[in-house]
Amino acid sequence: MAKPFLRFWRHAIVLVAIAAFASYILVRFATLASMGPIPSAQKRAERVRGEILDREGRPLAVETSLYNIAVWRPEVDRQKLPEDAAFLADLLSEGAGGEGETAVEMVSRIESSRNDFLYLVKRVQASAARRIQDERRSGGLKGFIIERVPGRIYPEKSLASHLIGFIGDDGHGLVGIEEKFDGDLSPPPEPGASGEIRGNSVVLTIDADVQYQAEAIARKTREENKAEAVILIVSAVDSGEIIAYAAMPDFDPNDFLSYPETRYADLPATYMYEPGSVMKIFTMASVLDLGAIDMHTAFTCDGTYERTTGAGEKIVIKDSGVHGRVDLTRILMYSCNAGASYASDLVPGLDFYDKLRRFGFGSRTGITLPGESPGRLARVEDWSSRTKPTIAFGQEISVTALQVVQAASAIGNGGVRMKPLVARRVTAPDGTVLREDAPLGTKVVSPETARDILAAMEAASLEGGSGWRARIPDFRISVKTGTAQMVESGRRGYSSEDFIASCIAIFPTDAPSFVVYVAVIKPRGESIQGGKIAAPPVRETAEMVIEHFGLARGTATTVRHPGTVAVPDTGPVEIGSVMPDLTGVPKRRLLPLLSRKDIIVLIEGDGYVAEQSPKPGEPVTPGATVRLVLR
Amino acid sequence: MPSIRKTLSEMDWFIVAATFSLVVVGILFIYSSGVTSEGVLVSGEYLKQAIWAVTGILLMLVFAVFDYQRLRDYTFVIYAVFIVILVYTRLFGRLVNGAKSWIGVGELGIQPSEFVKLVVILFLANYLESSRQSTGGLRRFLTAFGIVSIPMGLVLVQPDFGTALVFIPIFIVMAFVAGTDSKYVAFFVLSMLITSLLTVLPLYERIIARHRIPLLFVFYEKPYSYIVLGAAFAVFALALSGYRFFREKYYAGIAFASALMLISGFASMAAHAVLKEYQIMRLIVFLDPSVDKLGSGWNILQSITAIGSGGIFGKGYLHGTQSHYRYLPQQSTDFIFSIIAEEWGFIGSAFVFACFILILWRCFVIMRAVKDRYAAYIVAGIMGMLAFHFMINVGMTMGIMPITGIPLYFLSYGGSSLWSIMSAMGMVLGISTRRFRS
Repeated sequence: MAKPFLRFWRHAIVLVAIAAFASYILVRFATLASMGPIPSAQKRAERVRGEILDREGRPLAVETSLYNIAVWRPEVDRQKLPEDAAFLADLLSEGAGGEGETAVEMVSRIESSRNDFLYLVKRVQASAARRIQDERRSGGLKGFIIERVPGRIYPEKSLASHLIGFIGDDGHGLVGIEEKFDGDLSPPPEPGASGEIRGNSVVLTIDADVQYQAEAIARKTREENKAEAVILIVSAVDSGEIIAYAAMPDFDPNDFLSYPETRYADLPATYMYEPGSVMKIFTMASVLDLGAIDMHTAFTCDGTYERTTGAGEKIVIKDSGVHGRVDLTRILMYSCNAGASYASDLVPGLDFYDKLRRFGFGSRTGITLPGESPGRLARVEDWSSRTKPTIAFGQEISVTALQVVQAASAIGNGGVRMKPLVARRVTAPDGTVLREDAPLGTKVVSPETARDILAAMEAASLEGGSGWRARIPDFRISVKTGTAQMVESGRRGYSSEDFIASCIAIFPTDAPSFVVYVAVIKPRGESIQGGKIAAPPVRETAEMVIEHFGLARGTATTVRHPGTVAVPDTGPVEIGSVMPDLTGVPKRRLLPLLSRKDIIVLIEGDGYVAEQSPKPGEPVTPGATVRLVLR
Repeated sequence: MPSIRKTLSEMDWFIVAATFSLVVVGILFIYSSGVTSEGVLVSGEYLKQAIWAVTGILLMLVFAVFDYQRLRDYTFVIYAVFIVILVYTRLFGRLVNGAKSWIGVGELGIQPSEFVKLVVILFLANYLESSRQSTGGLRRFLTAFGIVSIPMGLVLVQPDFGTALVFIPIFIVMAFVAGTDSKYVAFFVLSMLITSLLTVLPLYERIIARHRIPLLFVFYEKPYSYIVLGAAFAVFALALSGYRFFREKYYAGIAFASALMLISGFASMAAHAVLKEYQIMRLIVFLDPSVDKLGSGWNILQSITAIGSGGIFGKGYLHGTQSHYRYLPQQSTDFIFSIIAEEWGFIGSAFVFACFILILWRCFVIMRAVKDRYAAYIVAGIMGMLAFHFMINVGMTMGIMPITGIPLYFLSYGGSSLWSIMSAMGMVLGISTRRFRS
């Protein structure tokens, strides 16, 4: 029989053990409770970010699965390591996303690493990861680990990069549409939701083809003129939809980290500058619409604008030339500053200011892009006696390129200004339209004023006009150019070498459909004149748009073709329970398939689908492998 | 009946009060766990729990009034019957969550493994008491372990790793209290610890530490592990024969250590063969839940968030967000404590905590007071079982214990576990009223 003494100690030890554990838990509990709420990782549901598509459904940003390949050294078969490394190096060199490391380099990196766990290559594509997985299943590649990471791919690379933007490491959009529509593309999960949550898609108004060509023109313009930057916008007059939104230099959002941060700046929406003579179409439209002048009112330009105010102050503004008697048409045709200033004398400052505000200057356009700038239009009470005649030819006012395009839509659209749109609609994963950005018009001037200004602008494209280089044979186009000295940063007054050369076109003149606007920022080439360096890219862009949308040429008949062209739906490919015939489908339309988790999609090669398995009409079950060979 | 009056008058009212409080809190929070964020009740679990609670109280009364000694002669028969039931369950049981741990007809079913724990406690107490003077030290210890390991193995193959684990503390506490040689108990406890360490070590190094701890790989990586085991065996044989010849404590110590190594090495190899990687993962993920945020780490992170957001005073009954937004998994069973902590805060859950401590303390007092050793062993086993369930479950919700999926007694939703703990409490009460009998 155990002694009572012994029994006591045994009981005490049991008690102490229980008490020790209980106190440990209690202390931990008290710590947790006093720490307060911890930001929780409430991401039970796996979120798949929605796509960004162009107006015809071509994917510009898609979600895919990428894979990190790591190695856990202790499990590596040292004898087979060179062989394994050769296999991997070979696999990764096939453009699967590797860094082009040779097998020998790989082995030495594994051998010499101070850690047992190291990443060999990050973000490789599914096809490569798949082959590594197969190899591992059959007993090879011991110690090599595959980790799945969600990844965003921008299949068109730098196309519309400023517009689309990119996402940061935390999965949230940082720039452009990715930022502005973050909540749509990756909606916060419904409380308690689980499984896969697919974000909504954003369909843009831009046309990838037009965008591509517009960017090529903008890039060439920037190079030829050694300019700091070039902005090129194409928009549809009647809806305000932006068809192309180019800014150079651009960047590749797939690899945004290797560009300086200044590259990400969305110049068309955020860059503020004095527009110069392009502004005359809006100031003269204002004066005309206010009834102060008509098409026959003429002013005398002797090279300077002179006026003595009531207070006796004498204001003198030098013009670039002597244009003699000028009416509105000639003011725009020759871009006569003095004429524009004299015309502005005929309207009260407040009315003039109100008209310009109606054109949209001095306030944000409301485009669905982050960080838009409102430009700068001083309030009338802050105007000096020089301000009104100066604004008349486009200085002492700061604008963004988007504001200029927006204001121009009023001229092309019978006096109704259209808010610029970049996102047409947001669609749910099942295709239902959640939200549509409907055209929004604001009446600015009368249809007659718009028509008269358009006609005067057409004169500028004719022989002798300042925008003759934008003329297109057998096509009616209304043009205005501008060359603005830039305000020297940090100083009062204007720079002698920094200019912004710009040109705007509205066409066809008799039934306006499109606005094309080019701004060349700080050109350092042979010329800085808008008429010389901005008009040619406007012409090229206009010709390309005419070609693309099939606008009729020739003076005889001009068929009006709206910017919103109905195009057969060529959206991303869907695979349901039955295999569709994918023959001839281009690679970019296949990309969304890569984010599917229920089936495995292997895409080999580039170009168009040439072979597929399963065959069309065969069933596709979850877990099935779909193999597509492209040529 | 006089025995009922006697029972009532001498009942341990602390245990009764604490038990009733816990059961009521359990039903309240099972109700809360069934309410969604919109305030809609989507689960009738609380009603079922209430029915089980009422029947459970009857069971408790029956076991309190019924003389536990009368069962003593039948403990082997009950044990044998339950072993058969466990075999039947393994073969023909209902597959729930990947384990065959249920038997029953239609909607009605029970988990025999919950009751087996109690049956093992009764039979083991009987064996330990009857073998106290007749059987030698090692043989008694090993037989006792055999009694525990048969049902434990049957539960393990269901497979229900968590419930199987509970048999170990039951065995340790009862064997220790019953006066088996403390060297054996120490050996057993140490070998269990080393086995678990060796079992999780490779995965721990790869997933959590992401580097190797120097030299430890010799214990699990072939062929080094064989060499180590062979060496351990040789040392053990040498030391044992040395002890035979010289009777030096020195040799006994070496034999003890090498045997420990040998047994743990084999046991961890067996564990590696039996356990799947995800099962081991569940055991270690609490060390760093972020390595598997969306998998097993998810539960821990959500539970810690719930407890943290409850703070000192809680968000108020039915006002927890973690639970009502259904971020917590198994919120009416394994993670019921997290809801209590979120809605009632530290203060409210400290009450729950105090109830458990009170029951454990009363068990301890009864175990000390009771003259009948058989009864003392039963109380020790129940105390070990309850303490283990409580600490592992509550520790798990706080991220300091592995995820084993064992319920929190009294509170977690589930008829079998409620009935078995209520029966156990009834037995403790019965023992308490008869504590002066020797």
